[in-house]
Amino acid sequence: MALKHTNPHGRRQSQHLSKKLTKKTPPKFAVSILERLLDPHVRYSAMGDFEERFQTIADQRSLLIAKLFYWVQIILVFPAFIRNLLHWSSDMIKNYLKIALRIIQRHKGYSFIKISGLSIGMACCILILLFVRHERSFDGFHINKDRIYRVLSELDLTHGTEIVSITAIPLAPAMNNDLPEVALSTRITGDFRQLFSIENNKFYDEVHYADADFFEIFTFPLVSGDPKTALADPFSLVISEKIATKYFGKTDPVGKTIRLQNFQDYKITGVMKNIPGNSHLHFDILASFSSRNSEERVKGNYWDRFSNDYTYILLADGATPQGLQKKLPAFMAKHIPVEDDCYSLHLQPLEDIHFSRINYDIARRVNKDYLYAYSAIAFFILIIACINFMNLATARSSGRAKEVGIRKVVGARRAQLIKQFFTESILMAILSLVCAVCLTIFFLPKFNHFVRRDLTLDIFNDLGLFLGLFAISLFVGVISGSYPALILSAFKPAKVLKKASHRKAAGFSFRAVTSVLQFSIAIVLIFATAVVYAQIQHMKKKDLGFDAEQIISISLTSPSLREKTEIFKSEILRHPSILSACASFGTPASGTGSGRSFIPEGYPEGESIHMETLFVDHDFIETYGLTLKNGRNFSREFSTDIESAFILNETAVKKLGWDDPIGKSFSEEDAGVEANVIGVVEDFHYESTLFKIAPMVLTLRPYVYSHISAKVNLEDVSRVLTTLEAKWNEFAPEYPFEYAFVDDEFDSYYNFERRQGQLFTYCAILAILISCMGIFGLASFTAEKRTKEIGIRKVLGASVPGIVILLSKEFVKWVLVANIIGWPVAYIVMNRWLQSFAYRVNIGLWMFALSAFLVFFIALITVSVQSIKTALANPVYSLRYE
Amino acid sequence: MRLISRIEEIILLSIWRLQDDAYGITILDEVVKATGKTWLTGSIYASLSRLLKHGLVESIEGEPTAERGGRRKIYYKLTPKGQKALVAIRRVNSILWNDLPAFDVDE
Repeated sequence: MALKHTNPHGRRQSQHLSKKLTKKTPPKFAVSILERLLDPHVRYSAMGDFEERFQTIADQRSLLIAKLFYWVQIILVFPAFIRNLLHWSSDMIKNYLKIALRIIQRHKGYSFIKISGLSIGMACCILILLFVRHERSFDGFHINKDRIYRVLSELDLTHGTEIVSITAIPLAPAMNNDLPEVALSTRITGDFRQLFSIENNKFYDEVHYADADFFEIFTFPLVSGDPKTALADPFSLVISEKIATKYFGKTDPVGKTIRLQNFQDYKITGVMKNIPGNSHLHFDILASFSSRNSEERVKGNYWDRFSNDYTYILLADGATPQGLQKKLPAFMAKHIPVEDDCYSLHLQPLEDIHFSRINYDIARRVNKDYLYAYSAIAFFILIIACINFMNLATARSSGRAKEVGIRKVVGARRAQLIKQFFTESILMAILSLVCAVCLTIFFLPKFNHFVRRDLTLDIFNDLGLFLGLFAISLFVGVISGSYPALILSAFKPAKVLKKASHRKAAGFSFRAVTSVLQFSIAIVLIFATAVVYAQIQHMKKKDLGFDAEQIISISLTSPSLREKTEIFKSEILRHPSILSACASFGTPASGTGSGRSFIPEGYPEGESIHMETLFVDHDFIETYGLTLKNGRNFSREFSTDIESAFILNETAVKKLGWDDPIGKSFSEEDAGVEANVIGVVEDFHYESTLFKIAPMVLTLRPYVYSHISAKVNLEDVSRVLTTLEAKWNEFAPEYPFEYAFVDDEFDSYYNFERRQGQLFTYCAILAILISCMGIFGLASFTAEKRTKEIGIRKVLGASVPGIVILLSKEFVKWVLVANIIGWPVAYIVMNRWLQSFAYRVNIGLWMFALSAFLVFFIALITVSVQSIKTALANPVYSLRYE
Repeated sequence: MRLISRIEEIILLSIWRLQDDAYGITILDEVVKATGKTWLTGSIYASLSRLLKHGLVESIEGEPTAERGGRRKIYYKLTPKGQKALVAIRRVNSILWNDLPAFDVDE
């Protein structure tokens, strides 16, 4: 055998290779892995050995076993290989980390700006992430969630058809009976505020009524009691653990009795776990629907009356919602034979309910647009922070360039430099993440208050969240470290080292663009804040059409008092500071109201119009200070007024198209009484000024009143309240006294907008803060770079203001350009936001001016602090420093 | 001179025993025979590479063969330095093993 010495490092290809290759070859992928794993010293010989082993096995056993052998050999070697790799590369990583920590320590100011900005940005992101995740989790806990649907009714209302979530009372049982696709069905009512008496303790709380199958459809676990029968019998009550503690303390409430409204006893048949925060249905007390069977509206089986009942169904196994939907028209036609009265039904999947925008809904809902808006804002704040990170890195690039040059000269490869820069930025990102989590924990309660949710952050028990956060920080680290890692590492050492001191800081235009972007975002946010607050003020200042300030409304919780309103009124009017008083069913801003159908003069036979109807007494218009535009007020002198007189508001008159409404015939449908319009009042806001004023009818209707309103002398409020309460206790000692100021009630309509305004304010502050930290860093860096130049300028006679202007000019330019980008974006976005309001504030020039001025001013101050310091420095020191 | 490790000793001895026929597969077979254990095909190469680097063995290129995918066999041969290393470790072993008291367990 001819032996020949060879270079062991080489992978010399044999020129005179025998082409007699067998077809049996090892798996290509495995071969390439093996090739990579092997040390170059022995790669060639080992590859040959592996292949020979493979061929031997393939010849003696089979190709499959040989292939398996090959793979197993490689896979088994992996753990040792990785251990080895880590062992050797850990030294390098240790070095990268050490350098990164040194750089953070050496540049404390820059590092602080980078890390604190990034932490704030990340904290915003985490909060929003938690919120969005919570909103998306709504109703996900129901075991039957894919089979639960809500039934919606499409109704003919005055202004065309409208889909509402309320349904007719007989609908749920009928669907269950007639349609095999419906496995179970339940009704649940909206809330009824009732008085609950447990021995001597009295509480006002909300009760909902639901059918027996409620707990079969929904997954609301009972702590005690049988979910199948808990709501079966009339006058059964299921309460939440919260209410159980409130009413009974630690004793087990099941089997106990509660008296409702002082006359009906209910038995507690179950205690359920508190409703989770991500349920669209929210209730603490559930009574059996059968308790209401004696009520006329339930007994009457009306298919055309809608008040406050919601229907949910559970689809049978194998049934599809489309199949069921097809059968619904026939089903409705069977129950409502008169074609004109018929309406259609729709099915709404459970998961859609939380994001739906249907009127008259009990669901806790959220507008998806707001979710997107919040996410966008959080994302932008994070972007601003990342920009700081990159800008400071590029600004310092000339200093780092020298480092890169020297590293390269002593033998660093580009890949190693990239690794080093990424290690540095990822380390910073991870430090920021730790700070961000602390910030989040600190601010979570406040954020919960904003969004009205009960979010928690528990990263140790929530692997998904933990990984998500880690992914965010890696992402931020890679994004923000990419500029120095990819651009700086490519510098040519000779060039850099030779010209380092003369180089202009790299990436100037890049910094300009990103700073402009930062300030544009800040401008948009300030503009948005201004618009939101202006809109709130606009709605608050909107003339309600009456004087809400002086009016106290008392809700008539006692049924007996409803029949004695006149006596009660005359009693309280004896107090000199109570100027006038009236009774009504519902008051402005109380949320209570009703609607009726009317037949106005001139309407074709059989047609009617639906209008909001307010039941009042003779003194309502005077007490609320409504202005009579036409005709007369209700009068005690005309006894017929009680059933045959109507007063319309202006919108109603306009809707009917009447020029002279007084005396026109106008009667309630099905009432059987001829009635007339006797007067017209000027429009007033009955509901929030978020909405347009609806056509409204006022009429007298004794004994149905729900509220007493009193116009009082505000200087004497406390004495008035004492008197009112004393009188109340004379008339209705068994019910607690409850009152509200009507203007406060109106004010509370804007709570949502107000919270939004606050949120925008905070976001705008954060955006400006982070942006300013960024330009502060850039400004101090520029000043540092130009120390010598400024020294020379001063020696040659430059003035301090001149130098300040010189140093600030660039930044000021950026802010001005940012306005040009920020304004149109802000205008478009906020104009769209305003579209959802009935009465909108005009976007004024002052809003543009404010956002521009504020950002300009803050940026200028930030930059000047540094510039003035530099400009004031004695040139002796600045010129000596090199 | 540095004392070689046990695995290096085993491989060097196997190569010496095989003389002109010492390449990856035969070496591994010797090692398996001596130790009575199964070894991964890849497990000798880390040591071989180290021995090459320290100059205890040298490699010699053979003829290309079909069953090696057209590659040449790489034979390994002990250098004088490698032989000295074995002699040194044998001295250590013999001193350590000489006149040992009997073991309590069966041999």
